[in-house]
Amino acid sequence: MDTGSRTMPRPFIQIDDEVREMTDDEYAAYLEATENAQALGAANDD
Amino acid sequence: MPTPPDFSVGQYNTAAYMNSIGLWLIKSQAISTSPAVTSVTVSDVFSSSFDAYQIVVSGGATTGGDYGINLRLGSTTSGYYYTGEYRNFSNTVNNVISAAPGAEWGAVGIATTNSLQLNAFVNQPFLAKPSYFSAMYIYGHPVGGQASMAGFLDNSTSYTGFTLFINASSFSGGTIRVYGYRK
Repeated sequence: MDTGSRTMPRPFIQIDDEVREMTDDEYAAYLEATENAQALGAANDD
Repeated sequence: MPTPPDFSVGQYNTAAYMNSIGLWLIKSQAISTSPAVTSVTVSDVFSSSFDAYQIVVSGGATTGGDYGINLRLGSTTSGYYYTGEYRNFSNTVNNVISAAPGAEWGAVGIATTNSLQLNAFVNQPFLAKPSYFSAMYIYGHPVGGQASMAGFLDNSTSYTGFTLFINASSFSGGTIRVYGYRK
């Protein structure tokens, strides 16, 4: 994957005190999980 | 001389006294605020010194939206059985969250734009046996309700650390504290 043309930073992750951008593989897994994510919005509230 | 758990000022505390302290703070890990992060890995907290642990997350917030906080042990992404229910304050929503199995323990805690809330008891993650958790929390602000979750990880792997993450938005600030129960 070409990362040279990115204008927006990828999400960051933290490992103990180190913070860095996601790698290609981590970002792909994150996007897949995000598609299924649902906020605790109107459906779960009253 | 008073005996534990009562102590007097200047009292000499024997090894036996100190070794009877039940809960030990193993690690306090601050969560980054700038930049905000989608996951936090906490390393080197589980060991042979303890069998059972309490993980507590306080303070902080998300950068937008309210989402469950998921938990993984080590780098394992399969075998996480869990189930639980959430019920709103007005008792008009009663639902079940479960996986048999999933890729993580889901909704172990909650991350909102007001705070991060997680209070999980994790049993025997370091032992070469299945690991177990149970947790309870209030979700949402001000609307929301109560959730209680429990599960186990179906393997015999020994773990030394864990990762907390959300599938959308990011954590901003807060503190993860890991306590060990005296054997």
